[in-house]
Amino acid sequence: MRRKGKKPFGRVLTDAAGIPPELVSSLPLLSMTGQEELFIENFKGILQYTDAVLLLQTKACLLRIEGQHLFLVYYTKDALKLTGTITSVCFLTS
Amino acid sequence: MMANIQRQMKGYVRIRVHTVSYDRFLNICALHNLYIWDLKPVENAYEMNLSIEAFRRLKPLARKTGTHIRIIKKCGLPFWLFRNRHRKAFAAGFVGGASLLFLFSFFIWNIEVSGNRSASAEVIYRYLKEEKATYGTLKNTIDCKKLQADLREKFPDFLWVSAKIKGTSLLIDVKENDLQDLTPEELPESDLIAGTAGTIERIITRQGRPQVHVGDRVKKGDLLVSSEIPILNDEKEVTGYEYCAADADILIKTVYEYRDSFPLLYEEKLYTGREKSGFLIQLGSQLFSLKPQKESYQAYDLVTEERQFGFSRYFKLPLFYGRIYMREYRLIKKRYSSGEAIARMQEKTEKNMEKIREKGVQIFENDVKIETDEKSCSASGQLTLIQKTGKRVERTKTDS
Repeated sequence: MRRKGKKPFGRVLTDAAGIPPELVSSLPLLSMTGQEELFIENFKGILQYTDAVLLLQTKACLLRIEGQHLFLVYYTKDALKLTGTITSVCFLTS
Repeated sequence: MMANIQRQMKGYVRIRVHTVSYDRFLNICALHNLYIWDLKPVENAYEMNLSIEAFRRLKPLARKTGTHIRIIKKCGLPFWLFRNRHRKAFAAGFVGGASLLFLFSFFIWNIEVSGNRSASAEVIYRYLKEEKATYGTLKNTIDCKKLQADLREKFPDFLWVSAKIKGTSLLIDVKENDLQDLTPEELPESDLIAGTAGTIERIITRQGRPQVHVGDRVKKGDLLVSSEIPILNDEKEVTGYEYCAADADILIKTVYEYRDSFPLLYEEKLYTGREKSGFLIQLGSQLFSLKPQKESYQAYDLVTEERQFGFSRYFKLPLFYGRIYMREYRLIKKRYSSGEAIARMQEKTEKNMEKIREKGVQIFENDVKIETDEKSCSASGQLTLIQKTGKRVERTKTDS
């Protein structure tokens, strides 16, 4: 059994090689500009979208973004851009 | 910005979708690479924008997911053209305008001359007119290379000329034969001649053979320093010549007659501050103007501000627009008192002297006297100036 907090061997190798983790483990990549703008890559799809919540399925976890007047500027298979007043970004275990 | 223009050109629709599983619908759209933008939840539905092409591909996906789609807005050029398909006059105007623009683009409507110093732009414009490379000339009738050669031939001071056509503009760039910018090594074999008549005040020759001495009187065009240096043998006989670029500092003293006068009685324009304006449009040589009525003022100045219409700096059209200002004034007859006249003339003379000094000329003697009579005020006398001379000319060829 893997000890709590210890990285898997594959991650240790990629970290040593200096490869960005989002490329190897398909971790979601989030770029945020203040509270107003959030750019997300590496997700599987939308589970819920209202003007207060956006729930995204990623390979690693569920991503819950809460806020007010949320607005999807664009949405494609690879990336999405969200604007509005973002109050929280939560990583939930699926 | 660019993306928005592109969307407008290609056209897009804003749709409202009702479905049981929104996440399934959105994810299936993403999976089929349909680009969705401005997605917003509205009253138990979603509103989003899609390109026309994506909308066509959406239909089978909507059927598959049981989605009801309603178009709420059609935007962009394709829809606009479709809506206005019955407006024949508008279409004709559009096509006519575009054709006119296309036709105008074959002609020269703007000429820009830069880098000229010895020849004014007006002189060059006049020459271009003679050469039939002027406003309204067909672009393909202008041979830029020939024009360059002709300009060089006509204006010998032009060392280098570039003529090119950009848009509807003919651009003439000139580099003049400014030998002063060259170093002594770069100078061609040349003599120095007198630019003005006078008495040689000082001559320091660095290169070449001086032909004059201090105190000599010379006429305009006289040879001052020759580029020809004789080669002598032991018996002091000339065996040949060597040529160089004559180089010397020569100061020449010249006496000029100075005369200036103005009448004591004069009329002064007193602007009343009243002004009227109108518009003007000039199409080619045809001027259409909406001038203010002439009868409104007794005496007035007419000032025109004109601009050429064009889409860019180089794509100009034969269309000028602007405003005409009519400024009223009253003529008041006045007379200078003797003191005023002398003061004015002194100021004028001093300004002229300052201009002379700015050119690096030394005023050696100033015998100008100011006098007033009943009718006018005049300044006359002699000015003795010491100035640099030595105009560089191609060397005089001697058969050796």
